[in-house]
This record gives sequence, C-alpha cells and structure tokens, in this order.
Amino acid sequence: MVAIKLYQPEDLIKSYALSWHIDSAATVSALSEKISKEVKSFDELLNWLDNYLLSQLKSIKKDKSLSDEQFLALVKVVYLQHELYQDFSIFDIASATEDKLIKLQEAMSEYKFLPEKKVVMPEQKIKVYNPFSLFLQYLKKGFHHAFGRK
Amino acid sequence: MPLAASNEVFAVPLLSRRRVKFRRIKLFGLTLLTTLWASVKWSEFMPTDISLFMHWFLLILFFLTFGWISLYFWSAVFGFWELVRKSRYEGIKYPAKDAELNAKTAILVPSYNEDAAAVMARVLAMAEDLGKYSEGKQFDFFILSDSTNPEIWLQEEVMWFETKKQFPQGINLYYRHRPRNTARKSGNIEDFCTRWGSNYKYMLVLDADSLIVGKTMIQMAKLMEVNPTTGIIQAPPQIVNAQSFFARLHQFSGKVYGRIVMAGQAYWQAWDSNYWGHNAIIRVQAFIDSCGLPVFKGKAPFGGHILSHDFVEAALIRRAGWLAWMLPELEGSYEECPPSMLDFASRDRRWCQGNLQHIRILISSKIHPVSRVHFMVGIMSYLSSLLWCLLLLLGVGIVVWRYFFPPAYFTQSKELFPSWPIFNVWGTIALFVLSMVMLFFPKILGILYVIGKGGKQYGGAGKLWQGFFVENLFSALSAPVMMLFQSKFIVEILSGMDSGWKTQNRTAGTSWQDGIRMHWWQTAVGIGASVLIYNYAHTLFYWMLPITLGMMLAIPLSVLSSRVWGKKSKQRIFTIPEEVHEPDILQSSKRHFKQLEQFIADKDMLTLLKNDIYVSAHIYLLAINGPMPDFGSDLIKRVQHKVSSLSGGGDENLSLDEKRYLLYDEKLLQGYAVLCK
Repeated sequence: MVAIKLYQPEDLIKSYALSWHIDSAATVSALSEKISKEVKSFDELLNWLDNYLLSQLKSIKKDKSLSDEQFLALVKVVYLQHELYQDFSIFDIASATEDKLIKLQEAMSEYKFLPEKKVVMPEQKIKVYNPFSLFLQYLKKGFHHAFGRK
Repeated sequence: MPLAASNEVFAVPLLSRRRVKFRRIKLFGLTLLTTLWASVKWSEFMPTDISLFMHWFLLILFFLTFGWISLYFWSAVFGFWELVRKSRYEGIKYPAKDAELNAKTAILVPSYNEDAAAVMARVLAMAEDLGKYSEGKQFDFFILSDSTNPEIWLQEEVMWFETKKQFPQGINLYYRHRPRNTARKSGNIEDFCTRWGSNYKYMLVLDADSLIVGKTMIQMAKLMEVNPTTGIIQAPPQIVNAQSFFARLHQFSGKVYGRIVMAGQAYWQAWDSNYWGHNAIIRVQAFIDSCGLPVFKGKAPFGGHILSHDFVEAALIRRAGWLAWMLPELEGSYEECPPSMLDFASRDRRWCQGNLQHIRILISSKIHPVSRVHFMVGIMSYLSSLLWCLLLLLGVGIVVWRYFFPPAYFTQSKELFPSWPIFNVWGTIALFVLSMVMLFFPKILGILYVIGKGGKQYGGAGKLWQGFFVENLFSALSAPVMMLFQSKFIVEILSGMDSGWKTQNRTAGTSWQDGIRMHWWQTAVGIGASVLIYNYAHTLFYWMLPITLGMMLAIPLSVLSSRVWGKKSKQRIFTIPEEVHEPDILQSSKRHFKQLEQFIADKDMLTLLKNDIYVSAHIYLLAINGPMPDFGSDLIKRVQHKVSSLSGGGDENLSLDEKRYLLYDEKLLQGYAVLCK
C-alpha cells in the first residue's frame, strides 16, 4: 500500500479536480479539508473522490435507465472524449438535458471498444509422417492415377 | 463449409482443373527435363579421377542447385507469356463494376515495437483513402500491438488517441495492446480472431510497414464476396519509400522483375497459392475453423510455436477445402524494404529458421501437394545457399587436392599408355554459361516487358538497362556474402540456436563499426580463399574472383549500399514510376507522419504522462488489453518503493520492466502522473 503521505494531498486533489474540470478554488479547498479528516490512504483517496463525484453527479442524472456506475462511466468516457467532441465537457453534463445525455450515450458507444464475441480457434492437428511412408503413399497414388480404374 | 471440396467450385469457365494440371505438368516437366539434361552433361564433364562417392555427391548438389534456378527460369518464362497475353488473371470470378459491398472487413495492423507515428500515419492515409468511397464504411482498423517497450506502448496509445480525432466518419480505429505476446504475430492475429473476429466477415492482414490503396482493399473484399469458396486472396506487395542504395535496388528489382515472377507463380499455383503473412484478405470464419496453429513438441528452433505462420495457415486453409489465390493485377499494395544488407540478413535469420521449421510440416499428413511445394520452395530459398557453398568448396577442394596429390598416370608397372584424368573444361564452361543465362534471362524479360509498356516512368530504356547492369553487378558481388550469411544461419539453427524476435530496423544505415563487426569474418574467408586458390588452384583463380571479390568487399559493400546516393530525380538510376509520380496514399502518409510525430517526438514516457488525457486514455485501454502479466512480487515492491521515493517532478530511474509494470498499475500510475507534473 502506498501511503498518502508520499504525495502532496493538495497537489493530488488539485490535479484530480482539474482533471474533472472542477477548478473552483472553493471546491478544492473544501475537498482538501474533507480529505484530510476522512482519508487515510491513497486507495481510499481515490475511492473517496469517485464516491464524491458520484454523489455530485447523481443530482444531475436525468436518464433514470442508467445505473450510477454506468453514469459515472459515461462521464469518464465523456471526459476522455472531450478532445474528440469539443462541445461536451463536464460542465455540459451539469446542465445536461435528456437530449444531451442521449448524445453523450451515443458518443460513448462510438468510443467504446467493439464488444467481444468470444470464439475458440480449434488447434489443428499436424501429424508428422515418416518421409519414407509419405513417399510410398505418393508412389501408390501415382500408380493408381496412372494405371488404376477411371 | 467450403464448397471447394466439391467439383462445383472448379466449374469456373475460364480455368478448368484440367488446364491447371496441364500448366503444372508443363512447368515441372520442363524444369525436370532441363535439370536432368544438365545433370547428365555435368556427370559427363566431371573429372574422371574423383571417387564414385564424390561423383554422386557433386551430382546431387548440382541437380538441386540447377533445379532451383531452372524452376525460377521456367516460372518466369510462363509468367512473361501470361502478362503479355492477358491483362487479368483468369480463373477467379470478378465482381461487377456496380457491385455493392455489404460485408464488414477488419483491417489488422500488428505492431511490435515499431515507430508509432509512422504506423499510425500509414493507417490514417489508408483510412482517408477508404473514406473517399461509400464502401469505406464497411472497414474498421485494429492496431494490434505486441510491443514490449513501455515507451513505445504509451506512444502507440497517444498516436491512437490523436489519430482517432482525424479519422473519417464511419470508419473505426481500435487499439489493443497484448500483455503477453504468445506465439508472436500468429498469436496476435489469433487473439483478434477469438475476441472480435466474429464481428467481421473478412480480415485484411497487414504488416506495420504495409500500405494498400482504398480502391484495392474494396476490390479485395468484393472479390471475396463473389468467390464464396475463397479463403485467402493475396495482393503482391510492391516495395516503396526506399531511400538507401540497397533498398532502392530491391525496389527496382521488385518492380521490374517481380511482376514476371508473380505472374509465373500465379500461372501454375492458381487456387493453391500461398499467403505471405500480410497484404492479404482472409475469410475470418474459415481462418478460425481451420488455422488454429499447433505448438510443436520440443524447443525452438524446430519445436515450440510455428515461426513462419503464413505458409502453414495457407496450407491449413487449403487443407480444409478453401481456395487461396494470388492476384498479380491487384495494384496499390505496398510494403517497405530493409535499408541495408545487415537488416536484410537479420530478417533472413528469422525467416530462415521459420522455413527450416517447415520441414516438419512438409512431411505431414493431409497437406495438399502444392502446399508441400510452397514449403519446399521456402526451405530451398535458404538451403540452396548452403548447397551452393558446398558445391564451391568441393570444386575448389578437388583442385587443391590434385595439387598436393597429383594423379597417378601409371597405376601398374610396364604400362604402355598413361591414364589421363579427363575434365571437360569447355563443357563445364558451357553449363556455367547456361546457368547464367537462366538466371539473367527472366530479368531481361522483365526489362523488355517494362520497355514494351512505355518505360518513360522508369527514366527511359537507357536508365532501365543501366539499372539492370548495376543491379546484376551488385547482386553478383553481394550473393557470396548472403550465401555465407545464410549458410551460417542454417548451421546455427541446426545446432539449436533460436533467432528470438528482434524489432525490424526500417530506416537507419550501417555504420563502419557495425560493418566491420558483422562482416569481418566474410572478408577473412574471401582473403583466405583467394590466397589458397591463387597458390594451389591457380586455374580457378579468375573464375572464382567474382565470388572471392564479393566476400573481400563485404564491409564497403554493406556500409556504402546502406547510404542514400544521389538526389531524387527522374534521371537517377533505379527510378520507378512511384518515385516520379508519388501515389496520393504515399504522399498523405508522409504528411500525416510529420504532423503526428509532433505529439511524441523527443517525448519520453514521463513527459507523455504529464498529459491527463493520455493517462486517462491509457487507463481506459487497460480494461481492453486483458489481464496484467505476472511481474513477480520483487519487481512490484521495487517499483512501489521507487515511486514512493520520488520527491516531485518524476524520475527516470525506472528500468523498462519497471515502467511496464507501472503502466499496468492504475493507481500507482495516477500518483506517478501527478508527481511528474
């Protein structure tokens, strides 16, 4: 386990918050304060941030068919897509209409890797012959071909 | 199920089974007759004072080496005849001009520690070209990375991320990095087939240096559609983008002579053609059902995973009843050539091992006879060097032996007439001249064919003949060097040395230091042989000079030929049409390379990790790649300790393996990324 003291918590939070486009100073300082009380390790920090964002985003979730996890995944994907689809950002989600959410879902579906269709490639058998018997086999075939019944 | 097992498939009006059989009888019959005639003559011309064992041994060596060039000669003659007579290869059914394409094709780009920007620039150029056609939407690209270098792995992901932004609408670009590169390229393709292959009807397999124009890719997919019993269609790749003298020489030979050779192969192979591992379209289901490669018992080089998988896959797909075609008229299919003799030899080392491993399959059950011929040809491509080497050694050895042990002219006492050892010098010279004619004639046919088609794009007839003479001079001098290389490879392989899997160099030349380090022994053999022949087999000295001279000049030949000579112009030797009027796809791939390279040029992993979006993209892709390989607890602890010791600003004090682990540990990586800033 990597202890949280190895990092500068403020830097980490700032970076994390920035990466989620939460760049208001008030939010960052509130996060810092909260985190110093509640979080004991790096893992916990990441989980905490995820949960925090999830609770924040719940309030703006319009599409009830999405589970919380799906919604968070969607937001993450939109974040990744940010560079690809300049018109979406975390701020767009905050004021998202249902239409926009549908668009976001579409964007996610395009971004997602193709679903797997698992199949098995059966291993082919390659039986190595004795070269002499192979030669005899071809000789036999040749004779059959030349003199055998048509 | 393939229909090929029934007679239905062979009811193609233009090419009957009988005609193909007759073609094979003609080609192999003429090869055999020519070889037998020459061998009988050689048997008559050989010195009479050698032992019976030596006589037969020399005869067998001669039969095999002469048979090899005879097959090449007759194949080229028939190829030339086909090219002159027809514009299209007959036998396969061609799609109508307005035929629609409704089947999906995956374009697979396997990559192993390659230049990520160059690979992705080629992919983008192909996608853009496909995007010009409505059928382009039926294609998706998959970058299948087997890269083991973490720096390159991250660069590939960055390139994927940046390229995706520019990709034409409707064409997808996917990236997958394989945690363990089991079974190398064949394992990489198999992994795709078992995970995503069933989403596609066809897959177009490329190499990292491959380029195919959109029109040709669409044509290949349409050909598969109208030929439902076809398993593979191979588009012969043409060498392009050559810069060094060595690569341009090969580019010229491939362009001028290659077409004749390809046409010759297509002529007799018909639907039993081979697969060269790239620039070919494959029916996915047929491949899944019939091409799961076995792992041979024992260790490499002969045991273990199959190294040169392409020939084996072609044989297996053919064994299952699917047809395999090679169509020389499929143009716009490109590849690149190693820039130097050393890189060429390094690739040969791998191919040599792969082909020798095929000996096991050559004598396996239920393999189609023509597939056996493909294996035989592959094996002979390397074995012929050793045979030629043995032939030369024995020839020189006999003359040297005679110097030290002169023949006994009178074996009995009171003999009236001496018993003269007879050696028909002029007959032997005639056979030598015949061999040379058989080697050069197909090349002359290639030049004549190109001149017949105009030849202006090659700088005119004068430049073509100039190219022919220089190419032959260089080939003659470098052939003994390659012969020694390949003979050494065979000896290494037979003694159990594995080639490993090295990344192919595609650009850099050879330094004098490397030239000396790699070729000193060939130079020494050349000097030693010259001294020996001059002193003890003087009659052979001038005859052997082209061979010994090539060996002695190995270092300058190798180093200087890896350099770029002369400026790009139509008047330069070895000019090909693609250099005069560079195809759009080549131009756009170069343009994209310049643009994409900026994202990763001079940026190490540390620098790239400073960009949040790249870190996020990497973490997103981890879920697709599959489970992390086992790094061992020691390494994991070491990385954790090193990362925890960082004081900020990051540190490059991580080994490649440690960096690789770091890229797998999502949380540690996020922390590292923060500290990198």
